[in-house]
Amino acid sequence: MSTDQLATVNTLLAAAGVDPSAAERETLTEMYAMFKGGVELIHAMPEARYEVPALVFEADPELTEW
Amino acid sequence: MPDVPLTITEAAEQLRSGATTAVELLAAVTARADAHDELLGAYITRFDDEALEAAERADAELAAGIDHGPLHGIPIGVKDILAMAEGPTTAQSLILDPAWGAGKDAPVVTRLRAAGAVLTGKLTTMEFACGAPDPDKPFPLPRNPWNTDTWTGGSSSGTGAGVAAGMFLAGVGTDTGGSIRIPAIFCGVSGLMPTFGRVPKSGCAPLGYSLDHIGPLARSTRDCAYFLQAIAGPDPTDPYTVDRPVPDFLENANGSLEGVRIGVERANHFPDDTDPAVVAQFEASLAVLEELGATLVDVEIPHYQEVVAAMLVTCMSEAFAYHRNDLQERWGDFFRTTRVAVASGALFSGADYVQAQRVRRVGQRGLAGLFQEVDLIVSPAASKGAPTYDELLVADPLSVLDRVHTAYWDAVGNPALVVPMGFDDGGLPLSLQIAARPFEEALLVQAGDAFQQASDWHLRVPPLVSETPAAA
Repeated sequence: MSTDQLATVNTLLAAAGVDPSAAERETLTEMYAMFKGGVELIHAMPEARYEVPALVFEADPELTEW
Repeated sequence: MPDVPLTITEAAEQLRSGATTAVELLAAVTARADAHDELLGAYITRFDDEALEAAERADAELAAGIDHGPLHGIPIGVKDILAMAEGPTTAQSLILDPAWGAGKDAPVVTRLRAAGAVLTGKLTTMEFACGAPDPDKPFPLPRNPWNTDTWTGGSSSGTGAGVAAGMFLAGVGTDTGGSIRIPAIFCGVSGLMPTFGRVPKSGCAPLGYSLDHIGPLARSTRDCAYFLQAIAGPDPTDPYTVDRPVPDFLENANGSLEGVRIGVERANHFPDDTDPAVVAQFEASLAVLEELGATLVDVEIPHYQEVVAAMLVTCMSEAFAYHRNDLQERWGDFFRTTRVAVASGALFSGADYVQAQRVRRVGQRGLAGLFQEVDLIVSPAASKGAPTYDELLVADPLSVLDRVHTAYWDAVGNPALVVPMGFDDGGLPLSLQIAARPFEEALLVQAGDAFQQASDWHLRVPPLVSETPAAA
């Protein structure tokens, strides 16, 4: 776990307004290091360069309450 | 009192032949729960009185010639993240407001009642279908009937344990990264995740809005098909449901796989620490499929690592959006692993989330191409059996995903089925995973049912249960 990564995680958590313990921050920093690999992988994917995201916004949705 | 039939199919025959009644069936499964649930922790709440009323009604209807189909009179449990009119939904959490969904049924629950099911109670999950058990919180710890030192898998934990132990014959599960299939794998039963949009998920506490699926766990594929038949179809309260005809999911289940081309995926499913028993049982299962008439072709699932990464970004971002305010105000009330797992959603950017949705589309395109060459794709469902509680409670909350191979299919939305394929050297169940094109659950059912006509792994009963005398 790098000091830089811990600092980044602390900044992101503070921005989100959540306050884990020191041990939990270490776990989250380890997870962040793992996630970064996956995030870089998806941003580096050439096939996605001109792909449309799997998101659909409807201007006039049918809104039926459950 | 008769003992508990293993399958819905068997129980349905007994109900119609007069060999048993719904009331007797309920009494038998209730006796199982009385005997084992303190140890196994499958139930959060039992609705014994309401279930008895439903069983009496089912018997009266059958006597009057009213038959609602295969689930009529069948005891079924419901994961406690779906609303049921009988009582509050907890999501196995101190966080969820008990007023949420109070007095209402989720559409899936309504459909099960209409199919004549006898709903026995609400079942344990991981908190909000995420993370791992927390012994410090006031909820049961779900334990695996095959070895109670091991975990059931999650998050449909009580459903998996209860089906394996005969506390009910099938149950509702939900699957966001594998939560129907993982407990089915570890508990040695069948689990069917339908196509995304096939089953309405309104009235179900969300984990990942664009990933959540509701579906059945039961001993057999055939039982899962009966269950899916009852709950499938669009509902206006869930905008994600798709208005497509619901076929007879058993229409092709003739015990044969003649003419079916099956892609065999090995590339991403055998990490270095794979249990050798998984390799052996997977190869033996392939031989069974071939004997049933299938043509096997080696394939590689496209963009596997990227799509799995996209699933994780999507799931944690969507979960964090739902839980952010509660995490700010009630951090300590969450389970230890849940709060860390969900807070990890704060570590992704909006651009990461959108990119993940682009990658999911790329995965769908690649997969559509592959499914022009094959009809189904099979793989091991996990690279080893269930983890022990000792392993689970010291691991990071997402590490269990390392041994299971389920998340890809949530991200692309295709249906996937897991069926038992044997045991490891320690007697823990292992499973085969079969995936199909979107909305081709009937082909999955054909394959799973044929496999189970040629094998009996799904009918094995944990020693904990088989060595306990039947209730008097």
